[in-house]
Amino acid sequence: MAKVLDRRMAPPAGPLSYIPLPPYEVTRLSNGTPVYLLPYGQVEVVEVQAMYRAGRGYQDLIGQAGLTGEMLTEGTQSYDSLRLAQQLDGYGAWIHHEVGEESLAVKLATTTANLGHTLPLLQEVILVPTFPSEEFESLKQRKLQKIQVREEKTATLARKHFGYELFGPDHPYGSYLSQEALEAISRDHLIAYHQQRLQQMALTVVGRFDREVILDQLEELFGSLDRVEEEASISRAATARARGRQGRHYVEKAGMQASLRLGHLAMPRAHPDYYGMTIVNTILGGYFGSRLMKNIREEKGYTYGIYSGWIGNRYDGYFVVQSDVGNEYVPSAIAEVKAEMHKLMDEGVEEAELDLVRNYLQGRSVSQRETPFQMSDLLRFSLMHDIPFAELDRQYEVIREITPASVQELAARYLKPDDLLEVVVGQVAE
Amino acid sequence: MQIEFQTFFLDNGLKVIVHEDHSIPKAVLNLIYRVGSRDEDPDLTGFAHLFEHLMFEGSRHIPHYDLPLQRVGGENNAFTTPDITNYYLSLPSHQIETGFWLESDRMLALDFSQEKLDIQKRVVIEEYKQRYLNQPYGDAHLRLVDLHFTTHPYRWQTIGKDISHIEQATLADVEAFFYGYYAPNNATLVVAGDVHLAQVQELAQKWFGDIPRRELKKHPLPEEPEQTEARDMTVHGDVPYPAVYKMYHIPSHRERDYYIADLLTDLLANGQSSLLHQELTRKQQLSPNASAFSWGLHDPGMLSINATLAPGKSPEAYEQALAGVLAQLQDLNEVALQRIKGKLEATFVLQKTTILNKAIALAISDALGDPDLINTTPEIYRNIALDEVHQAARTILAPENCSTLYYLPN
Repeated sequence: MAKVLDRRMAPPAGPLSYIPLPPYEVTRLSNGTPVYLLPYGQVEVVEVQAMYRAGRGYQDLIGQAGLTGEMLTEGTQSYDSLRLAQQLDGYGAWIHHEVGEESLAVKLATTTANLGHTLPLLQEVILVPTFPSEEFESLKQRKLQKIQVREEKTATLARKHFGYELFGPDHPYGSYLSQEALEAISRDHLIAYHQQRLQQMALTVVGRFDREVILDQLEELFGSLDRVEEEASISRAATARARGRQGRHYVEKAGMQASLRLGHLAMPRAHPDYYGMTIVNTILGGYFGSRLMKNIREEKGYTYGIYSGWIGNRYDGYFVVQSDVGNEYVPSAIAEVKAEMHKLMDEGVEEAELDLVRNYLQGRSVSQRETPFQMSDLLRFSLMHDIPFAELDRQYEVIREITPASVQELAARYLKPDDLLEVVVGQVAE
Repeated sequence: MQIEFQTFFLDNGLKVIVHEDHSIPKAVLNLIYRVGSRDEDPDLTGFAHLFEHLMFEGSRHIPHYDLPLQRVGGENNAFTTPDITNYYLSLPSHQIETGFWLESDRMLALDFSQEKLDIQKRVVIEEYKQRYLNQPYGDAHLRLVDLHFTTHPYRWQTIGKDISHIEQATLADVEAFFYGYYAPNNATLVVAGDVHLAQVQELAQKWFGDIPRRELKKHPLPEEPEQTEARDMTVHGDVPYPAVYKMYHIPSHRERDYYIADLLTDLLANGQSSLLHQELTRKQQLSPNASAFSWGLHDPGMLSINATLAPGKSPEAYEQALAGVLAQLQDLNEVALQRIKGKLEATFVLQKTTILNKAIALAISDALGDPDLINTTPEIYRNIALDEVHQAARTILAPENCSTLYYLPN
């Protein structure tokens, strides 16, 4: 007879660790284009990214980088947009672009078997896009309408006003694509952006691939290009001044719920205390078991969800709490957020809660580093933000070594519950 | 790529499926219960989903569900569909026993309380507002399914027909629902990732073995009568442009014909090369977002075609153009059919890059009647012939098989 199971006792747990980022190979094509190769995963798929120092930090007009990226697949020397899409469908491949603050990337995701057929399509898209006027006007009309529909949503308006108040509409981190901004962009702006910013690329290859085959093909497609050295320039975010406004900013919008965005400016990503503050933030509102979620969702039922983020941009970082709450709960929800911030600053954290957060963050690394597509994005982040893999993994050292005393100290030093910007979009009774 | 798996049963009826993948030190437990919004009382809709929330509020021996899981580096979530309720967690593989402990205790007995119920009712009501009522066009789908189905419980969505139904739920309802549906003999456990069959057999027996088999609350569902003429309905709301939503009856996901309907949906709306996008969005510029979806449900389900209209365009002009596009399906040729099949084929490969996706796909396949659907589904699509697509387009996308919702600005 087996002994009776004691269901109150958790099974013994082993020590936790994280999956370290694997090494990758760096090589160059004959014209100097850097290529980063990272074999990863068991499934026969691969992602190739062409990446540029571009993006929202490097544009003259709001929306210029994003629209240029979108138009790359709208027509090339050899294909119109439909034929290009059909080619990709037939091979079961996707070409997407991604625009960030510090980079613009064009990604080809494909089965390994079709890599040879699809890589020339990537070449077309990045080297010889034609930016057809008709497609551009049509895209613009669609986007104008989407913006209009989106602006009926309290959450969209809250994000827009939060960016405006905290950074300012001209700051790359506060920029928001309004209808006026979109109207101001012409086809010539996109062509210029492509010529100025999308020339000097780096290539990454992540997934399952044959090293010699892919290098030969990359050399053939990209190795003989004249490598145009772009003028050295730095992100506008480096010199822009964030407004850093504080206090209540209320936008009336009829509806059943209000969207809240509460926050303040914070340190850039390279700051030595950045990783520590991401742990403080996790405790406060960064995961489902966070204090904000427990208090405002699980104890009060004011919202379906509440999260906070400690955002480490390259230049100016920020802290934000976001939630959609019933209009009637707005004052109580804001008061509870401030109270939770004060509590963390005044009373810190018990070892047990901190230990839970440590384990949660380490365990999560396994899911964040599972697919070649995740690794491909991590590699791009590392290259475009000039943060080596080893430095990205340093967060796990910080996670292991942080103490309750240092959590409280960090919270007290960097959280500013009395100087919050409070954006409220909804219908709040006087 | 073949997904290998093994299956065994415990004496209490719990079915266990094991898929080993040792590429990373991660394991997933996915527990699917064969209960969904279809099983709800028409006067108490939204209950299966509300119940899903309560499953995270502590069980008989474990006061908090999330804390011990996070303590061992795990994450979890759940979703409710009209047919099933699915719970999943992933964690570092050496911590897997914690997953068995947590999932088995909440199958054994929940820690019901009025206070917890009251709080989750409020949370779900805020979810209802956030997702359906506080968004332009947010309630369109709620209204459309109610028009499309006259009889079958699919006529309400998982969130529920009305907020008042959620407000009315009582603790007695919660308890009856639990003992009527949350039973080992009404569930399948999928364990996937860095695990071994023998280890899973031992842990499943240890933690789930002593949970009693329960008498299930089974009830026949009314069959949806065949629709014989077009239906429509007009609503007004605080929206910037008119929108037109159409819904068509399609076969059950258990039938091969469902896959033909799904392929039609892909031809209509999967990506830039799709018919709706090319014709209605680009060429005729009638709608910025014309799209189509199909729902693979256990009983006959639905395919919808939705569009917000471009400024100045009328529903009549849109509908006329849409009829033209649907007629074009008859001109579909072998090349275009092979193209969409190529795309679907790649989609299936990409889905297999995460352990969680594989576990969920196994569970959903099992609920449909055969876990091996995870492997055979690509073959089903591959074997669809051109004339079958033409035939399905004629019968499914016929006006008399359609319900239309016009959503107009105030």
